[in-house]
Amino acid sequence: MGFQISDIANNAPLFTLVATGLVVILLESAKSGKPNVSFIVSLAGFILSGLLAVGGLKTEDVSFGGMLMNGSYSNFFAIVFCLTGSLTILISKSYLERFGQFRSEFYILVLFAAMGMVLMASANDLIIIFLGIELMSVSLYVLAGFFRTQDRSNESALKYFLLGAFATGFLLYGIALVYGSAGSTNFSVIHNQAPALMKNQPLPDSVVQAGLPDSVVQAGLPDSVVQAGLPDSVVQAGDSGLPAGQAGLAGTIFLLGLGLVIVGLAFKVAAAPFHMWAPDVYDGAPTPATGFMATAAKAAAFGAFVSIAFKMIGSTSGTISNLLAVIAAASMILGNVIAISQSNIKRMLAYSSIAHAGYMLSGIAAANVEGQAGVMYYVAAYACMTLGAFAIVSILERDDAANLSIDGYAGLSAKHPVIAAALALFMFSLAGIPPLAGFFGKYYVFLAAVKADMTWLAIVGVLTSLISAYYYLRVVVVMYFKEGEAAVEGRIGMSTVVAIAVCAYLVVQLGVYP
Amino acid sequence: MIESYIPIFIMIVGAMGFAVVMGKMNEFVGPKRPSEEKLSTYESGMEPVRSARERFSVKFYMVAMLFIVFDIEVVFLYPWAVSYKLLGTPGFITMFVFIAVLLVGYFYVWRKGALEWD
Amino acid sequence: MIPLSHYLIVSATMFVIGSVGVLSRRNAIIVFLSIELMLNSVNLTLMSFSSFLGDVTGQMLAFFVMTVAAAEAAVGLAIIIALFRRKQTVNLDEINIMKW
Repeated sequence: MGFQISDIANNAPLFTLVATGLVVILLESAKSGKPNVSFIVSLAGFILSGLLAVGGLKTEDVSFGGMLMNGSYSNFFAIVFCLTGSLTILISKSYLERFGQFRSEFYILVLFAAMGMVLMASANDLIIIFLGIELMSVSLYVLAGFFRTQDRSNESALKYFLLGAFATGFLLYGIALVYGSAGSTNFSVIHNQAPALMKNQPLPDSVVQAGLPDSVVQAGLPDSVVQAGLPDSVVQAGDSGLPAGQAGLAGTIFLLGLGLVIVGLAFKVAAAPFHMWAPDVYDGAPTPATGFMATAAKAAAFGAFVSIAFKMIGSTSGTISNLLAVIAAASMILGNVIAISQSNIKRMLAYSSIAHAGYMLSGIAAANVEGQAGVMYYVAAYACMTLGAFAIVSILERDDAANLSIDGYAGLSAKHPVIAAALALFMFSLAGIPPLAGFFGKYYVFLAAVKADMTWLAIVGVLTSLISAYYYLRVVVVMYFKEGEAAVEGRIGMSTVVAIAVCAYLVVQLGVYP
Repeated sequence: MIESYIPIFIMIVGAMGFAVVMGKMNEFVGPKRPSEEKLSTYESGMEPVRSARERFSVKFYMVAMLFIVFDIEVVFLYPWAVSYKLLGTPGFITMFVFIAVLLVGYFYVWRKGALEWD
Repeated sequence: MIPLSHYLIVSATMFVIGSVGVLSRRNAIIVFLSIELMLNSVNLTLMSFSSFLGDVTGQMLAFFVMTVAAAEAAVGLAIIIALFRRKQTVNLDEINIMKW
């Protein structure tokens, strides 16, 4: 036991965030009511942490006894989290001031959520995945309900909390089953065991069909997972009277556990059958917090997802791949089709985020190197464009949470041409129009899907992104070609403008020089 | 195999039996002389005027929640205490950091006035 | 000795009871209690695997589950109280401003 200095050096971005979080708490306790100081300290912490992550891109190492894996992968995600975190902080300042809720706790919560995200991305053990997810989720529950005098915010927090905790239950049960069948929670150990566990089962087909994946795919609702999938197979496994650890039973338990872990993570990324919470939560939460949830939290969940799919399961996962492909296709179709009928821009972006989760999942389902790289690129591109869009929504939102309807954006181009142009840029990128970042993200993940002989998935993706162009471009049309009264109340915060500029720059930069 | 459940079975029977016996014993052994005054909700004191299902002071929830959070952290101290010698100095430093982080939280709660009853 | 499968059946049953409770109950507090039941069934699974495998990781994870559940309980109850103060109800059917 024990730890070395290198453990701390390898995780410098994480420890910077931890230290910043604690310092902000101490500052807030010592001198209550100076949110400006907290704002600057948290921003500095995020930037420092991001720079340290850039510096750590080259070193590949494990730390804390194999618990964490540091290297280009984890540091890439750390950069994404620090970027989205600092942009969220920039956006939030003027927004919170306008709503009279400018308090240090917002920054503390964003910092702690970012810590959890970095943990998730650098995890090399299921325990760390669990701890990271919980650290992130618990902070986000509070962020969603940050406007505690607003009914909408409270309701959003409650829904997020109950469904998030429910998902955690599935994830944990999955972790427990994987642990029981593989005998360890460490990714490297499970990775070595996985091929044997997956091949040695006596009745692979019947397990797949009678057990979990089938019911997830067909019925799609969590209760059917519980009622059709879980009890049967576990009880059957138990009834057969074999001690676990014998090949067949262990394999069944392993697959079941993996399925439950995937269900839990699919909840967190808001993929199709498990997306019900997303629109309500995104709608009710304070807009900067929504942006943070939609980008950083989703990126973190994908960081964990990719780790589990590639580091833990490995490439021998035909069943899992198919399950993921079906979830991906369902997310793309459902998210894009329902987004068409939305008139509230936050809900529209929520459904669009479900669709984008589908695009990213198809990269994971492809289960090849291109898929992994594609997902990583997509996460960064998606974070920039969605956060930029939410930043603009936060400018236009008024006190009574009105002015969120897309029709309210009519005439924006005449009053505020720069803002309208930026929003148009983000919408074009989300729709996947070249040469912007969103196009190359989709291109990479669909290419990976084609290479993995999942052409049908790529076709579904391309068709649904054509559908998506309709509702993204509708926003642009409303802004430019309709007469209207869109107006910004009061002064636009300088920091928000900086954040939008950074997002816009990155969307173009990532697109032109991928 | 079924024999190994006997202790659990005995415990269930014991627990249920104890509850039933104690409840019934009170009924049989205790003297009963009911009067109108005794049947009222509070024998000595005022008549209850409002429903008992009222909201407690919110301070109660606050203290209770803080108690849960700080109380449960003790589970990490027990394994440390058991294997204190084995973990040695690194373990000591680690736990010191852990407790320091807890103290930061405690300091915040204290300065925010969540611990003051009034 | 009680075989492992019996523990697993008990914990799976607890887990299913918990999840059915989450899906069928309409009182936020009861739903929350059902979630806690699910987490405790996970703890039982972890403990039985841990003792079966002779490996301490499961017990360690169970500790973390307990502490995290406590943190979640604190946050969750705070959210429920904040909502109750404004709406005077914890019935989930009445908490529905937002609908698609």
